[in-house]
Amino acid sequence: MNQESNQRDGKKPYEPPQLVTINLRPDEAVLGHCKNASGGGPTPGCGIILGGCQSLGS
Amino acid sequence: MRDALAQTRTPSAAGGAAWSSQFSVGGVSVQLTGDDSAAVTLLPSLVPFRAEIGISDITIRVERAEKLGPSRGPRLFDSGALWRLYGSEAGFQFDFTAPVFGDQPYKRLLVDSGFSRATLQVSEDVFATVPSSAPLDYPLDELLIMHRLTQEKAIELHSSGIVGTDGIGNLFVGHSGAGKSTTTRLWTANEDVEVLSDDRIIVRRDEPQYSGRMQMYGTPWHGEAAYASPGSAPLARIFILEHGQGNVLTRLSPSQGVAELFARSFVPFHRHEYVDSALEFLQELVEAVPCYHFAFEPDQRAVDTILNLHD
Repeated sequence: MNQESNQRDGKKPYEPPQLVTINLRPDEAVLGHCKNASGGGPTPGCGIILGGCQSLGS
Repeated sequence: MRDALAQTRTPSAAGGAAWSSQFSVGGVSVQLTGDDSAAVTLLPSLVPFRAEIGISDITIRVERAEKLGPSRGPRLFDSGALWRLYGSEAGFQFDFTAPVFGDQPYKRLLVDSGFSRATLQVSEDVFATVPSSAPLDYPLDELLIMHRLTQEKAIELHSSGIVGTDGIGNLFVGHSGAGKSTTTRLWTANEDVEVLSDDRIIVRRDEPQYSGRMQMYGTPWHGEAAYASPGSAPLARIFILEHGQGNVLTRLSPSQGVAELFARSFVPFHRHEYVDSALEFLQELVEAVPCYHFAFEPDQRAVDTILNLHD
């Protein structure tokens, strides 16, 4: 069935699939670092006190 | 800092533990038990989430250990810094290290595969070095909840949750730097809203006997704007945030929505079952709640664009 007949039948014209790249942020997703270094939230229990904190921001 | 109000002394018959504390995050309840008050101390950030619950979803027995030896089970995942995951007879073993304590773990969580019963071993060195430390600190608290959510219809998203005066919630999802805290500040500047969190929101489907709707919950793990509420609200819309020009909203197809949300979710990647569970839930979520891409400018017009939106 071609596009013209699709339109005649009221169907949505065929659109070829598109490849969309979506970036993952594994460094944020695995909770491998402190959330922030400002002292808020969980930071006091994290690596700042223990000397291992590297902030990734929020 | 410790909060004595967050702890209760219980009869020693309960598993031999004299002290306990309870809290609930995103519909997941957790009970800590231990032999002294220090063992069940809650972080200040968890205190607003304190809850009195009969039977908790997760029970953690906190124990002091003289030294924690090297792990024997197979290594399943390495976060690259704060924690590593190993297989164990009962389920999983999370080991936490810090430069100040050398190569050996200073804390170890042994938990069953259903994430319902656990033993948390904390090195005596921790209490000696940091007397005010709380055993269930970051990132263990978030890791535990995040893993437990794989057993339920729920997910944690990198997002800010804002509730209007009508009690309906909008969820603004984004990586670090996408504008969650900025969006939160814009909304709180002129609107009468409640912010559940400016960085981490848990979304779950309400029990069918109640509404069966998608509900969003605040968490203790806040962002720069420091909003962290134990409240919850029905979820009306989801916006994938991106700095842009003109405050442009684009409705996403379900497949686009799932992909964008998955990239901004907190899911344990070390087991495909957990990833499958997350994707299945996200599919349900985007079928139930409209999902938009929102390229916004950081001023009041961004708020007005959302307020004037009609699906």
